[in-house]
Amino acid sequence: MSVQGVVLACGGERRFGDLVTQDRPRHMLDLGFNPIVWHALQTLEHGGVKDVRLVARGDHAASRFEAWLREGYDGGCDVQVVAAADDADTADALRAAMPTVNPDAQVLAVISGDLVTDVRLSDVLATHVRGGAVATCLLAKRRAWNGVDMKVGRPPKGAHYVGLANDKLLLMADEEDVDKVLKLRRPMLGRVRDLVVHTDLLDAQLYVLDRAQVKTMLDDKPRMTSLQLDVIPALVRRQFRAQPAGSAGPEQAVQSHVTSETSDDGLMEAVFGVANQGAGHGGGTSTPSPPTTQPCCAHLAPDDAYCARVDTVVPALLEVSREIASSQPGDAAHLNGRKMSKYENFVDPSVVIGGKSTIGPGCVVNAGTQFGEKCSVKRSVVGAGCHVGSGVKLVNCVVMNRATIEDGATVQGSVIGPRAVIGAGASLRECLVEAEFEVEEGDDVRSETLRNKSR
Amino acid sequence: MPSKGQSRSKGGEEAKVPLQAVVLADSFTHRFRPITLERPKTLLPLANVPMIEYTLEFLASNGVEEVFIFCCAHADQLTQYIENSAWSSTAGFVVHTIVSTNCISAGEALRLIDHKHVIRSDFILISGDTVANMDLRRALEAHRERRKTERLAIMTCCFKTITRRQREEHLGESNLVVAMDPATGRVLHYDEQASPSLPDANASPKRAKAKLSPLSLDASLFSEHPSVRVRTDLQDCHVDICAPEVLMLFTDNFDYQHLRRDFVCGTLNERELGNNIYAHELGAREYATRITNLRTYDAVSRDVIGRWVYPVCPDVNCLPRGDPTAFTHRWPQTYLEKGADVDPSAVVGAGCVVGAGCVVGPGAKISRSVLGRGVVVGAGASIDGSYVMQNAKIGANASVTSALVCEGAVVHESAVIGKGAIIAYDVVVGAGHVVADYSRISLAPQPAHDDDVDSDDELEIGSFGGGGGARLSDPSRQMARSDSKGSFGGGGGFDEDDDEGPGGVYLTDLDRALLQRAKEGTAGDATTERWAPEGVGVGGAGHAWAPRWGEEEWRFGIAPVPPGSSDAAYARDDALDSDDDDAHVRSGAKPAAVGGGDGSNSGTDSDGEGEALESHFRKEVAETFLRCVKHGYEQANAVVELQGLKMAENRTFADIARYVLMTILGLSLPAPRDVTKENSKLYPAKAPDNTPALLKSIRERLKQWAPLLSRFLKSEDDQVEMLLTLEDYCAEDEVFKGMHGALLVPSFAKILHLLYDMDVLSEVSVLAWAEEKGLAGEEDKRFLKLAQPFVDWLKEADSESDGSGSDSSEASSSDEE
Repeated sequence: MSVQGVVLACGGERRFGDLVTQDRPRHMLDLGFNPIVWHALQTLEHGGVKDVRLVARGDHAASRFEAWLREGYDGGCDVQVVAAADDADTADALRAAMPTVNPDAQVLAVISGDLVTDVRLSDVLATHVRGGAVATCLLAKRRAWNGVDMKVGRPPKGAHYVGLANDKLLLMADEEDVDKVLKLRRPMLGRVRDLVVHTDLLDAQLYVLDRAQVKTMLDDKPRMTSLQLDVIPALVRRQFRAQPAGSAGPEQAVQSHVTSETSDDGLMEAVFGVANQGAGHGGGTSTPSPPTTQPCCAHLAPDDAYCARVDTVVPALLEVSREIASSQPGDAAHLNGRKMSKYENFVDPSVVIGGKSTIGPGCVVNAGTQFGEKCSVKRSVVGAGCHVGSGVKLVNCVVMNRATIEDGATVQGSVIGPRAVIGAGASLRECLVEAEFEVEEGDDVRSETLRNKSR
Repeated sequence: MPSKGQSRSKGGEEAKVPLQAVVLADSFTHRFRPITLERPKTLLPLANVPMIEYTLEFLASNGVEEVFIFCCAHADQLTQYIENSAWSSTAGFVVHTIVSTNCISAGEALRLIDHKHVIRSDFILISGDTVANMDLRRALEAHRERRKTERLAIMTCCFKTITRRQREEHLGESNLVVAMDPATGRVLHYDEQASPSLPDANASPKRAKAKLSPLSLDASLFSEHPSVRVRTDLQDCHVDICAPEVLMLFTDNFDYQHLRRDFVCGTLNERELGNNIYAHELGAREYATRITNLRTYDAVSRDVIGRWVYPVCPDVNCLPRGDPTAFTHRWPQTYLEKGADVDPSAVVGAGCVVGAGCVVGPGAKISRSVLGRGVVVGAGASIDGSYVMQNAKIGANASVTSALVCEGAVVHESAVIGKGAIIAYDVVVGAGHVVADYSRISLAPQPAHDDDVDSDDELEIGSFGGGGGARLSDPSRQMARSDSKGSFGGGGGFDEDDDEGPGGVYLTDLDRALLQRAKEGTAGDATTERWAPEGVGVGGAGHAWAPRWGEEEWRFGIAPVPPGSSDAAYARDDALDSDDDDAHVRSGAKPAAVGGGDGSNSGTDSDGEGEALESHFRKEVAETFLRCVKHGYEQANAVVELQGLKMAENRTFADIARYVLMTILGLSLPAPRDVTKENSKLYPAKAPDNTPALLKSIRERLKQWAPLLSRFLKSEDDQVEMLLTLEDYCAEDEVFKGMHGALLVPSFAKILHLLYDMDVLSEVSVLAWAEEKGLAGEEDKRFLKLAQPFVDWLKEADSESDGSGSDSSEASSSDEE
């Protein structure tokens, strides 16, 4: 089976504020040693998909991706960058990529450019083929930091409702569809015996799609703009659509139903309804009619798998950066792309560390960064070319490239944007410092977003 | 240790309370008519043993020590039966009967039992027509274990896994959907709907049911249960383990009638009371089914004969207690009782039960049927899939297919009984007569309300549970029921009738004699005057009942349902429920909307509607605030009022603060148009003449309410938002039309200063506002220009105090700490 990989690197820039610029699309932000999008490409490559289209928003962003692929990319995928419109949402992006995909490919592996996972794509493809599906989604348990806001007596905020019966995907709805009451249509209920509706699952936005059918749908419904909100739910609903009167009347549908259900109908009937079955089934046991609609499937990530999307700075970027540096159970240091040192951290050989400074386990320090004396770095990710003064404490932080942290500063649970400066003796806790912002000496800031106002 | 000893003695006390069970020996429905007009349903034999025997045996074998049988219809027959049976003298098993002949529902029965104060601990609630072999102890243990930690787990319902087809075709039950928590098995939603009808059923348009509405789950369930299991593969066994609180709940909610529709759905809907219902799932080898209609009667009979309910099967010969049957088992699943006389040339096929004293004539064919004791089958007769009860006679060459022939009935030579027919007690079918499929014949005339469309079918299978616990409290319905009750003259319960022997009340002595002759086949056409020959044939006796109008007999009749018929019904139902993709595309829902948007159409939406909403909200805030002013409320009380409004309208504090400020400012101006007459007294008749006077009046108001405002303005963003609103107000934009805000324009900068002085605005937010506005178009800069002197002044002050800035901020933070 020929599989075409498509990486959708578009949308969601707004949540990244100043960290994203024209020259730095959000999927090019560093996550450990590599840009975010590298992880999506890794997933495809490990799944044996080498032929990849990467869709970016606009020509400029596309050229940035191309530059990185030329110069920085170390993976084995053969990536062709496609520029979609500046305001393209995911379905638009896929539509833009359609003309360029390999016409022989039966199946598209569409992956969101911000997905970080160690779920094997081949497993998802296997689920897809086994189920004879038109679409297969990867679902995973939500990480602890990505939970749904629940209040007793109210619908969960921002929840995504996913209905599963074994590996069949039967319901995809979000808050907008649900509006206080979740309506389950009877044809769907009739199809399964045991449906479990989850709100604790994350749609990882890795889809395996039947190329021909999805292409038809995208062409037929030009108003669908979002893959996860429009196209996939439409495919899920289509499973239960009544047969068109011309092709297969209800009679025929019934017959196929009967034949398919005889097997699981229990022995009671087999023993006591013998005569009755013989009579009733004389005409019904003819050739089973082919399935009229293809199902949608879901591949549920195993419990020990890692699966997260970097769709926000806080918490997603902060948490994922640290989790792929940590060897704690449940975390994913193996996704980092480098070998862990004996201190259980990742420190580039070019890093200069001053006397009595310690870099604890679960840390990443990228090339060219310098530390002064008596620094303490714990469970933090420090980008390339940073300057860290003496006596600095970094705990649970992400420090992006070429940031400067001056002597005696203490930073906890924060994200420091590129080229930002933290003044000497400043203390930050749970802050987001955006690009090039300068925190004054000795400032004490908690739980704030600091951003330069000239926007 | 004393504590240990205490707990042990406590445990001992608990153990002393005998395990109790309540048996409802009346289903409060009409499903079994006309049989139930003459005998109680629970005494109807199933494989030649009355149904209540199965129930009592089930309870006794599971360690139940005390049983309360609630008798309603035909209570005397039932009590007499119990008294005469071995149950009344079984050691360690006490049977009490509770008689109330005027109960019309399970709810009333349970209320009555509650009033009697006989239930002392957790008990088993079961119907007297249940056949089961399940391990009740396992369910009880789970229930008790739960009750230890969760006092409000008041009920455990038993469910068995089954396919939809089995449930609806095999058992004739309705479409049941149960939602539960996958981890704990807590029942979250119980929804039972009538199954869709067949397309070709000659149902009246009135009865033809519309397509099934979607199942509605309250989304707030998901806040407590992140995943919910929606099951359509369950059969409700109607075996419940209840805490005594269940009875109390029935008493508290005096309108609860039905156990499932009212009690279960009611409890699940009133989640705030905290009462919980749990599901107990039966194992693969466990069985429990309540016989609710003739379809279930047939299915359960087959299961008993087929040994699916082992050890409850005919050849175990333990029932009826004290006077057991004496069957011997022969492959394939044929049971002959001692003393049955089967002619060698007769064929008794698979799945047959033949009672003692039966005489089966030469050449007769019997398959899949139950013959009671003393049944006489004539030569060459054929009986298939039927239930022929004690002492009935089937004449030579007669044919009986999938029918129920009651005790003492006679089918004369060559008569044909169609499938699904019910031949009630002592009815005589004339020779050669053909009884149509699904007909019902009884000596009792059909009660006037029997075919009442809305009467009991709705009661039994009517849709419920969907939204908010629809109850059957419709007064007209109640009236209809009491009417139908009255029409019997017997004055008893719902499916109750005469108090005498079979057929007694309907027959005069003359009739009796005639009946006797008809049975012997010597009456000839003498019967035609008394009983219409169209129904029972010449020489027959009995009234043919009109078919239940529009009822889908196939679904509840004794005859097996053609396989796939329920699926056909569903297929049709599904066809009605087609789903349109386009209806779901949110970004392009409106044809007018241009494709390729960013997926939100809120922009187009909110213009008209949004403004109206906003205007409404502003008015609400204004009115609430003015009320506080008028009554001179304390600040704290005003805060409470406004907070309540915030909750009710689901807004932020900033929203409240913005509109409160505008109202405060407005109080120095002439009354706006939309203010009520009463409130308008609070406003001055006309605006103050000059700016200082205006400012003075504003300052006084603000002085009073500034703390409230700063309390509601939680962050700088909120303050900036308020400034923007103030601009709108002064410009009389959008929701502020006609509020005289323009009068404030000359003093805009002064008002800002005032607010700054009062600590409503911080300098940071004013500067942020100025900066934001600085980027705006020229048009939008009007107010910024007005405020420029003030902003400049602030900036200067800012740079002056820069050196000491950190000090002051530290000081303030230390103050807070």
